[in-house]
Amino acid sequence: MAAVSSSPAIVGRSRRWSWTTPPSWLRKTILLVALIGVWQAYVSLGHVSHLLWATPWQTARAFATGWRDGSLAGPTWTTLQILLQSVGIGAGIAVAFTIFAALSSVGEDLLELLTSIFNPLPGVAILPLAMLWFGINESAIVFTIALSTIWPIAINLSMGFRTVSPTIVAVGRNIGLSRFRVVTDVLAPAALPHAVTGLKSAWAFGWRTVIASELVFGVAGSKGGLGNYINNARNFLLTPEVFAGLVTIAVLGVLFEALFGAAERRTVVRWGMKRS
Amino acid sequence: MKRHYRSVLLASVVLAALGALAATATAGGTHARVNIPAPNKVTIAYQPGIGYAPLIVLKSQHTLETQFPGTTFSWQVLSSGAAVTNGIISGDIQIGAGGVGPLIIAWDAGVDLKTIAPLDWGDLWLMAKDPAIKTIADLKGKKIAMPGTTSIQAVVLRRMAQVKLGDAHALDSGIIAMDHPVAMQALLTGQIDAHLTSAPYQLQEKVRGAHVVARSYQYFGAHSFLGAWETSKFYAQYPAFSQKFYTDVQTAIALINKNPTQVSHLLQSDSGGIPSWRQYKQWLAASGLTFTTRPLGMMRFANFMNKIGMIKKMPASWQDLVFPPVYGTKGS
Amino acid sequence: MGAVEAASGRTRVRETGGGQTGPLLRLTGVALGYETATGFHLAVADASFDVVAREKLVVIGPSGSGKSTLLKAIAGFVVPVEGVIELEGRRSLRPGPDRAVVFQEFDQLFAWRTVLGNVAYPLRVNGFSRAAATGRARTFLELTQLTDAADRHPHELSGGMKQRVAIARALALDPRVLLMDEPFGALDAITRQRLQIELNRIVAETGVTLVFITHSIEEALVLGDRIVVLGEKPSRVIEIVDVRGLGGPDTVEHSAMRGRLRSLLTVDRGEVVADGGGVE
Repeated sequence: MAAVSSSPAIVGRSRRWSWTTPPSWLRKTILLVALIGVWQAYVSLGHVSHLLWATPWQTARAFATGWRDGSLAGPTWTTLQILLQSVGIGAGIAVAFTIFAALSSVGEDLLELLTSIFNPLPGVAILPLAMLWFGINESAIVFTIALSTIWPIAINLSMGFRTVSPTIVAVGRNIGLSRFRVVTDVLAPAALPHAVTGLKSAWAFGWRTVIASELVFGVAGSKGGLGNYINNARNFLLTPEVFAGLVTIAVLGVLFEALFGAAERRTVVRWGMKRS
Repeated sequence: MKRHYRSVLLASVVLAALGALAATATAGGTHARVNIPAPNKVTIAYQPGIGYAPLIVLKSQHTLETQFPGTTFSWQVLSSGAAVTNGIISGDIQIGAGGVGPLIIAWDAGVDLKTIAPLDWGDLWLMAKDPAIKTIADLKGKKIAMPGTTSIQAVVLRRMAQVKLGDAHALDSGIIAMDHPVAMQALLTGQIDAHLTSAPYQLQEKVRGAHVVARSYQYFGAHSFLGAWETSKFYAQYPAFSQKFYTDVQTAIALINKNPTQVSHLLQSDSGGIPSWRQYKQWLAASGLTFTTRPLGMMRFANFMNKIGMIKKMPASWQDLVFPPVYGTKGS
Repeated sequence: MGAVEAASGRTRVRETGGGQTGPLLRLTGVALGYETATGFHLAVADASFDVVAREKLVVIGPSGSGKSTLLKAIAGFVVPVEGVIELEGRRSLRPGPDRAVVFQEFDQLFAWRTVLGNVAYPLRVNGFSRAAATGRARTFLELTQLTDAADRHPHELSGGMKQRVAIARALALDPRVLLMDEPFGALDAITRQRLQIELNRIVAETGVTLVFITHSIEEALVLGDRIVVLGEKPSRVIEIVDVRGLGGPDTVEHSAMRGRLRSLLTVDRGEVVADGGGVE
């Protein structure tokens, strides 16, 4: 025990190398490379049919080709456009609805009721109905996704409103804000952390719904999206292209995570409001 | 008392014998058990449409089940040729049936798939309900339903586009993947503008107010439509079984051509009573199908598909796409 | 909001016009209560007192005596079930910046604004231009010795600093009455003492009228000109003592007053309202 108490290594960083010594991004990169290695080994050594599994190299080539000649870039952009449109509409409706609910108890009851009915419905289940109402085009998909994104945002935002400290609302009234301006100038910024959670959730739902809809539905309107790209590759038995499509989805997921993170750092974290 | 017993016994035996006779009579053929090695389980998949009638005959008469009592047969209906191909690749399906389009594409992608028994030739009609759609050119920018972008119908559409519009892919953006029954509903309710389909849907749509815009025979001549496929690996494992399957299909086709009434009854009971056998008989006669195991025009299709980039390799001859039992039919 | 008089400092509140008679704030027979699951409860049975312009009035009482509720009523958040509250003769008061409030909770600041923004924003709400609001905000931050913290966000500040920001914000609005609801209750003893001294200085410099709620006898003696003593719930005004000119904490008169207040506040069960630090 004497050796331990007099050892200088107790103060400051441990000298023994452990898994956590390198930074997080490096650790994850190492793991990723290792997984890719396992993938390649599985396909090559396991004599797996090239129709079932593409190798990392084939996938990378299909990915690069797809981006270069636009066959992957175009559908990706189409899907993103649909998604941005839908989430935008869904978010707009959710915010309006939540503000209405904050200002009136009829609104609050209505919001709760509609949320419990519609939130559990998976978007893809509504799609056939949407196609009947809107016809077989992009509007049906936009409607379906918008519908499935309203509820996560509304739930989180109204939770945010409800958990705002009553003191700060009192301050708002005290300095002379009207009830409406209390909602926009006090409740809304105070509820921002919840809103961000809701938005992240809605974005994730939206992604899943749009890809699933395209897989089921095929050509959305006049241009095909990412799901359609994958489905088409499947029909033509082009497994590397299928994998390339999946990799694209994964990459986009990581990108948006980073985007959300950056946005959060500049607002919610900067204001000390992030709930971990 | 004893005398009573004996008459009852005699009566039962006679009744049983009569019953067995009746059963074999309705089975309609001498399908006896055969002594050929066969797998434990065979899943046979096909798609909606009376073009698959030979398979439905086999299914209704329990031909295969009788010939191979040690094998469990499972029959499935899937919505597209791509689904059937996927099932074969994943090993779920041993014998799959679909159009020439998916077969050639699978062959090109390296799936070792070939036709063990062609089923028929089929004229595929492009149906539209709106009277304003009269020619292929009228279809620009419109929604056209078919089983998928790799179906034989997709190939036909592209040929029509190439001939009439100068660009095989001119109508590609309007293709919507739908299986035939759903697409028929969509066409009749106005949700889609056209449906490139097959028997009996094309006839049903015609009766319900749609009209024929074009026919595949106009662009490819008479051509093969459907076939039953299996993998080379399966064929290598069970060549005699496959050969027997082929001859069973031939027998079924012979029955369709000789006794359509009986076959219509079989089709009716397979579909649960609706539509009626009379309806089936009418369709068998008038919907553009010719049942035969002789493949026709496969190379013409492969040529076209290669030219417009749907496949990369060209089969050397039509025999590359079928198994040995079919060689004797002098196909093309 | 009216402009600040250009008197001896930029921060002096406006003088009441010549000839204004009567108190700034008057409570007459005010009764306050609230609904709970078990029925209506009366917190304040009958409160009557006046607040004169520029004086520092401290309201003290045992916990549960309704002193916070009284402050909320003056601020306009709660309507009296009986009685009248008049500010310069006006009744039926709704919440407004003329009775700016400093609450006890630290989260009374807007976390998403800087210190400067927290003080400037209420001014913009009340008609100041961006430049004028910023200028005036800086003045009051200087008054509360927060100039260096102007660009920080509330979560970076200590508790004492946060309360100073709240004070700056309230005063910048040039309120007729500054209402404070146990603002130093969540602070440690040392910070609390420092802020009491600060507050006296600030109030002297601005000349604002102060109504201050506390449960601490010592705090009341340090801050107040007059002390209103409330009784147990449902409370009434037991006594109003004038402590202007009372000697320092080490004098005899101070101790005597402390004792007197303590005895006024002792309840039947022998509980005593805290003195000294104020923590119960």
